[in-house]
Amino acid sequence: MPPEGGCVVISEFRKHPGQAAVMLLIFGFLLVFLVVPVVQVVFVAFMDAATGGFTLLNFKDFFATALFRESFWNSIYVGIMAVLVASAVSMPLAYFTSRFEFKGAVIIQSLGIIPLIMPPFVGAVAMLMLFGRNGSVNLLLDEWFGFTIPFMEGLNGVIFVQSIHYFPFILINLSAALQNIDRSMEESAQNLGCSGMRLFRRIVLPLAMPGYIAGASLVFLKVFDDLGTPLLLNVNNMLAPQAYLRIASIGIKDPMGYVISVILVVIALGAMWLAMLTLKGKEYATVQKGGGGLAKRRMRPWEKFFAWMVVLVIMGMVLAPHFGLTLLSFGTIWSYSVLPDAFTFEHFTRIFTETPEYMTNTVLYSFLAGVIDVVLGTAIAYIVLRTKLIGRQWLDYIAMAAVAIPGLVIGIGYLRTFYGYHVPWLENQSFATWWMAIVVALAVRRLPYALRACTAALQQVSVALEESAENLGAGKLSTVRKIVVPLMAGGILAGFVTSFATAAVELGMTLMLVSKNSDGPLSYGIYVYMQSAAGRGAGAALGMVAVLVVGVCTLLSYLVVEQRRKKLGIGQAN
Amino acid sequence: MTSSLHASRSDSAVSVRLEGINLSFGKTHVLKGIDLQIEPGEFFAFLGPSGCGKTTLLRLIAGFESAQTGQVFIGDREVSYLPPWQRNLGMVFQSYALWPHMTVRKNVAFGLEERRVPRHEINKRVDKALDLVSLLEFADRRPPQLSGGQQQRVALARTIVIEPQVLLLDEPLSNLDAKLRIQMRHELLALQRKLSITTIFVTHDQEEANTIADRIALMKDGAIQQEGIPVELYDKPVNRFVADFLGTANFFEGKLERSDGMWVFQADNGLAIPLVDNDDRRKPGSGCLVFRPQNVKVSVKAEDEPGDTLQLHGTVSNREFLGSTIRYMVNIVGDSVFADVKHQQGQLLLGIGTDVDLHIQRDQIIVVST
Repeated sequence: MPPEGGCVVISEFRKHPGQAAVMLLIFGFLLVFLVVPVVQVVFVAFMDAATGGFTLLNFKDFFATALFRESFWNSIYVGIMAVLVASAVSMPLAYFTSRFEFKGAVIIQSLGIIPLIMPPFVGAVAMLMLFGRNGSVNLLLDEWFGFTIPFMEGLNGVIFVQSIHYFPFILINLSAALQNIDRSMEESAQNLGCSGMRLFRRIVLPLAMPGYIAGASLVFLKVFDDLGTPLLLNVNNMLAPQAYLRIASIGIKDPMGYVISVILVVIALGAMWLAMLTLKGKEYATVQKGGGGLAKRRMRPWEKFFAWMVVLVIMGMVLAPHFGLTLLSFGTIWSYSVLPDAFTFEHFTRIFTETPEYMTNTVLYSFLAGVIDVVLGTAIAYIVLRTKLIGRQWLDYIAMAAVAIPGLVIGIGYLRTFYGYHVPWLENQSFATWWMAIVVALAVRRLPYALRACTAALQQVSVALEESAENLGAGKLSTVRKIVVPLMAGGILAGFVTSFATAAVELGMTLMLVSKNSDGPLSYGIYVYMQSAAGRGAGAALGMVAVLVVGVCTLLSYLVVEQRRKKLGIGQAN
Repeated sequence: MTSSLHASRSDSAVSVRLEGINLSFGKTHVLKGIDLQIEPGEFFAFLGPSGCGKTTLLRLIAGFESAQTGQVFIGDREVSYLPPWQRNLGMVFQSYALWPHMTVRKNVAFGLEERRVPRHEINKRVDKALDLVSLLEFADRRPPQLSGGQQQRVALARTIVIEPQVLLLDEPLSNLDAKLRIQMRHELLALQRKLSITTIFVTHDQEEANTIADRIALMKDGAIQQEGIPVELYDKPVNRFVADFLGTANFFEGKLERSDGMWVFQADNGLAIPLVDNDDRRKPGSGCLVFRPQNVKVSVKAEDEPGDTLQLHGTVSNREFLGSTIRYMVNIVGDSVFADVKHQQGQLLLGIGTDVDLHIQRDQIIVVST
């Protein structure tokens, strides 16, 4: 059927009905499971509970209440402070690695991975044991020097835990930004008489700013939205815990939870917009041949000593949560003492015998969510990159928008939207309380990451490889099956593995959607156990399992990508 | 179905015909009014500089682009709206596009598998194709393990094994080094003759097109400037671009005028050159006088040449040693001229500043439009 000159839009859909159908299906999925719940939440926040009409009353009530005002400012304060502390920690490290030939650079880089494999709320309790008012460090300080440091008092605790967890993001961002600075920028400044710290401050830092700000705003966003850490540290006067507590105690009709959700989403969008804005038009990347990055020089002995000291201190802090968690999971009674009284395996046996479902659920949910994510991710990547369907970019935008929505908000949205819908084959069970809702929510939350992995993988497959298959007689479906997917396999697998560990570490949405304990995954189990002093050991044991799962997944994903790259030859991108 | 690749198949070779092709990408008009007929069994070249549309035209024939107007015929069949996988053409991509996750054998077998050929016959035909390109022993290797030349031959084997009606080659030799390029040129030609398959290949290298093509279509800015056998494009270019693209040429800009019943070319450099023929089809107006450096005779002493030569006088301003030729640049009044002299051992080279006489036979001078 010949395509008419002006009717390109319709002819594309007519030419490729299969592709169009898939695209519409995916739109439908995203609409029902992402857009509608979030929009619902926004609506309810602006809705008058009595009349159902539009009102700003809820927001007025929110800001009129002292507790909520306090929570709002506390959340902002904690977010900013966490970023500042993390930056303060990263700055010297980034300075050392970029300016000097420092052997410790390798350690610094691997330091960057360690915090990533333990979610902040898991390490929170461990940090309490070590740095709390009666924790190991303060007990020693008091004994030796007669004073204590309020590391973990109130908001400080949250800031402390979050900074340690997120400083690798800042460090990586800062290092990359410094790496990308053209050497000629520094050299021309030196030529004009500027050097040393002054040079760093006037030239280097401003050039690294955009990259840094982009990373920092994303960290702020994550800290702002985090539910698990404040909850486990019993810090309730912050936004996220308040939302959770209101819905958990008063129910889904309470408008305050929705108001807070809207605020969380607005701030999230604001942070992402800021990140995008600072990066726009500031291409400071290397233009010259001879490599980017600043010139490195040798360190003088006292500089070396100083640098190593700093690295060791930071290393100590980074490993502290892991150390504390290990002690907690193997310790019997640990309170008001520097170390646990004795060590035991009983916490581990307890979690495997009494509550194995936390682990089996995690595997089940993660697997299903991972499968959904890579199928959707591959389909979206293919539609966006390889077809000419109108509106396909929106598939990408909507899927990626999930990054801006805190887990908590999705949880609330699902509760509100799906409460009335009953699963046909399970009598009287609403979809919102069915465990599949958790799987779908996990999939939607992790889709952006899987999508990026699939998109990157597909970009590596040159179009000529598909065209040559078509030339030899393979239709679109055959080509995708035999050529595209096998060549994307590494990226797809990496995307799957990234999605896999989610159920172990996601708490915000999980807390909302889990209706009975036996439906909970690892993260939920940790939370439940940590509620009581007696359960802390078992909670820590579960935490160790979670760290193991995430660590293995991260390693696997890295190995898979490396292996694939070596096997297929890196030079296939033409 | 006979699967012998060695039998002469000139009776089954097909023609390729393009009628009134116009193609635009958005606002950019990329192919302008292309009309072309390629004969069965021909080795045809699309030649031209970067951006002239030659690859787009090839892709159009293959089915990866659609034209806004016009039709494409393979043999008697109109294929304009057929998707690539139904056209039964074999295309070798510039990057070879070998699938790295399959062995050489699997790569070559792909097209046959899509055509549901039975397994034992696939093996037979794949072996034959690999043998034809001398790569049978590499059948179980993977593409990243092969050299550039070997990869190209695998790509070739992959297309000829399906016995396509037409072979399409997109700059098949650009990724090879100079020596390998010349060797592969001959192999390609030999292969094509053996299989008697209509072949179209795209290149920007005029030497390549001259040596192996039966006919050339020279393109610029989306239009075919001239089409014909290499000698004809070289000796009788229709415009300045064609004359300039193929080999080196001397150009005098100027105007063509009628005077005393004769055509005279009034060059901008001051020379008035009467033309040898009385072609009535010419029109007066601006144009370009063209003659090739190898047709310029250089002499130091004043020699009398037969009447219908153009005589110029000048001084040598530059000399390039090209191995078999010496290329002199001679400054004449208002202009400079390239003259090629065959280099033979022992012959003296003219120094800069030497006064020389140049003679060009009038029937080796042509006037073209700019």
